[in-house]
Amino acid sequence: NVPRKPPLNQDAGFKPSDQPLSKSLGMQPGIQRVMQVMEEVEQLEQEVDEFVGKKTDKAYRLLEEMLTKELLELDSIETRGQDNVRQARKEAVHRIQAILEKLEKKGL
Amino acid sequence: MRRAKGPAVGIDLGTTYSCVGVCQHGKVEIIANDQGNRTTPSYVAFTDTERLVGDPAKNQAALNPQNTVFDAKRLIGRMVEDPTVQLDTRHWPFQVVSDTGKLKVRVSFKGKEKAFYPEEISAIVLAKMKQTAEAYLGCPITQAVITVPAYFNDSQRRATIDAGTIAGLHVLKILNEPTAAAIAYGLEASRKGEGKRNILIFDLGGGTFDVSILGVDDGIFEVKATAGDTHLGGEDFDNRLVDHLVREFRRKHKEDLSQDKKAMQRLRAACERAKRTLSSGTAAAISVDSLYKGVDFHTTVTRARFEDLCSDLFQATLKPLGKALRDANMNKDQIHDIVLVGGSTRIPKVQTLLQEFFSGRELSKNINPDEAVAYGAAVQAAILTGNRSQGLQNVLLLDVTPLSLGIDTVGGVMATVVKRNSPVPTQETMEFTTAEDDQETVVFEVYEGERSMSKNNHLLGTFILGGLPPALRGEPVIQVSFSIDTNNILTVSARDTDTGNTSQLTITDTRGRLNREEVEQMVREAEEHRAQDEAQQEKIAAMNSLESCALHLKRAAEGGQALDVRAKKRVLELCEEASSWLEGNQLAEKEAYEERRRELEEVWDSVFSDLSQGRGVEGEARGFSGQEQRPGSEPESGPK
Repeated sequence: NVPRKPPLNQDAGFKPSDQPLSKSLGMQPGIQRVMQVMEEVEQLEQEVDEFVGKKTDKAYRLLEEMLTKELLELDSIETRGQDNVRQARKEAVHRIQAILEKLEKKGL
Repeated sequence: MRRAKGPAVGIDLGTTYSCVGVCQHGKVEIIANDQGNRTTPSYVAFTDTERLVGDPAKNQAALNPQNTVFDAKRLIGRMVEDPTVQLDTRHWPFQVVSDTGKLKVRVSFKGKEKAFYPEEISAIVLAKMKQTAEAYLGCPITQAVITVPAYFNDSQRRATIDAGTIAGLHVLKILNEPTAAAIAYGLEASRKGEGKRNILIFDLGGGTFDVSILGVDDGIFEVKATAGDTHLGGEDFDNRLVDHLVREFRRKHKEDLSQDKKAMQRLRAACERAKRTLSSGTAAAISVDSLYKGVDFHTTVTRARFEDLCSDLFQATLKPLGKALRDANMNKDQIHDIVLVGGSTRIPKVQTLLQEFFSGRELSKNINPDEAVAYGAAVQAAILTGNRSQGLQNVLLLDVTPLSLGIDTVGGVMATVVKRNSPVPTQETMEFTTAEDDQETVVFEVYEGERSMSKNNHLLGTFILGGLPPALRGEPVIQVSFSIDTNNILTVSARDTDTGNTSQLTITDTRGRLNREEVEQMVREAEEHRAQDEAQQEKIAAMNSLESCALHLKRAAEGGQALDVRAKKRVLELCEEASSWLEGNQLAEKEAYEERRRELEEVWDSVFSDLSQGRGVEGEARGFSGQEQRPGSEPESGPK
């Protein structure tokens, strides 16, 4: 069975760390896209934290695949030579890779 | 869906992608699927719980490779012993089996082993294309022209017809893909004095390469020769670029990333993007952060480099060209037109090589090469269902309504009664009601246009239906009928079902004032504004919903004997408050209305939860175009 994504956490948008979201209108599109990806990643990380099982489990492979898809999404964001976009994207990639590593360690 | 027959569509049932188009009033439209994509992967996936088609099937392929079927076109109508089947099977992650001599693919579906004929897989893809067209056209689609490669034999063609039948489509014609492309460019009409024409179709797609030479004489096509390579296409060019960058990474960073599946996946995606960029630009940046062992990979690929990497593959397209010409017994000068089909023909070098081969001849390439085949199939479908004795344009221009027709409703929203592109003659009826208590007359404003707000459409006329007996708002049932006769005369009538009172308006020749350009302009504008309009419409719906919720609650409170005086007073006050808030807040956001409605619904629930008869108002909730909602019913919530 393919586990379904849990419904979006309503509180997520009100955390202090997410404050810049409300000012997203003035942001560069690149940064906005990185933030969108990271919002989804946050959900996935929760699922990784809750995951218990084998590497061959469907849930494991689903999480791995979803995280990889987010990685591919990040890769498709063009930096257009802007350092802050580049930096944001890079940090996001590292974060996902760290979550993937965490998942790998948890998988039996 | 009362209309018996929608238009016939054209479907390009491709090896890796499929595409559907429709030709109406002389204009071809390629129809986007529910994911917004104009081509749909020819993928079908089976899971423990469901069957997936198109984009969702392809997206989960990595997770479920054994049960994700693609390339059904390479199997359809073929025998088990076919050597190409034997070769292909090795590369597929799904299982191909023989069932008493017939080919099937075996998958696990809902926990059970199941085998499908290739026709069934193709039928699932076709059904998806049918659905895509139906969603767009808003009517059932039952007829289609489906394309196949020119080299398909009788058995493969018959199997494709069967796939269509399984999908619920009457296949009007199996059309050769190159012929469809030629029709898309209008090459069937041999110009006066020219006699026969010869057309070369150069089709380089994602995974296959086909060259066809057609002869056309007075609208009749003949396939003179076909050649190609069943395994050459865009993916091969990606591979060259990937291999090159793996080498470069090794050189620069002394690391071999080729065994890391994730890194390779990321690199491949970057290469595909770079390849596309290089079709218009002369250089493409590759930038993948932390690609392998934490190393960022940044590099630039020039178009010259890409062409060099693929030069033998590009050159390889010329050999089938020569072969096809020899088989057709022709020389290059006898080819009148050269048509480009398939996404990979966007590659500049491919075009240059082809053009040089034909001594600088112009190439037909202004139709999107991914869509040209479906485009031509759509034209053919229109011709086959139209009147063949007259010019295509004439027939197609006359037999449909160019714009939607409807009336203005509460909040300035247009309620469409007759959809755009409905075949005429036609008659459609819709039920409406009043907006106020004791309303005596209803004013009908008849509009044509595609925008959701009436004021942005074109007013055709106004008429009044009077003499309504006193009644609460929403109670009277008024039937509004639009009928268009063969002479394009539109009659709109309204009838109060209670009294039988009738009033009507006749508008002659609705299209006299709008020419096709204007119509097209309106349609374009409507598309541009659709998002805006939808937001506005949602807002009005939320406003109406709040208003009717307050009204219902008020009525229920007034009529509910079981309520004690205090509760009744509280409810009535709340309703009053909501109504006056509404009046003062006509420009509030949709969410604000919804929030207010939720508050009211909570009151409703708390006050009436113990009164089973409290829901007796249900029968009144017949809304204006269904915009009203009974309190307590959540319009937006899906299955939980």
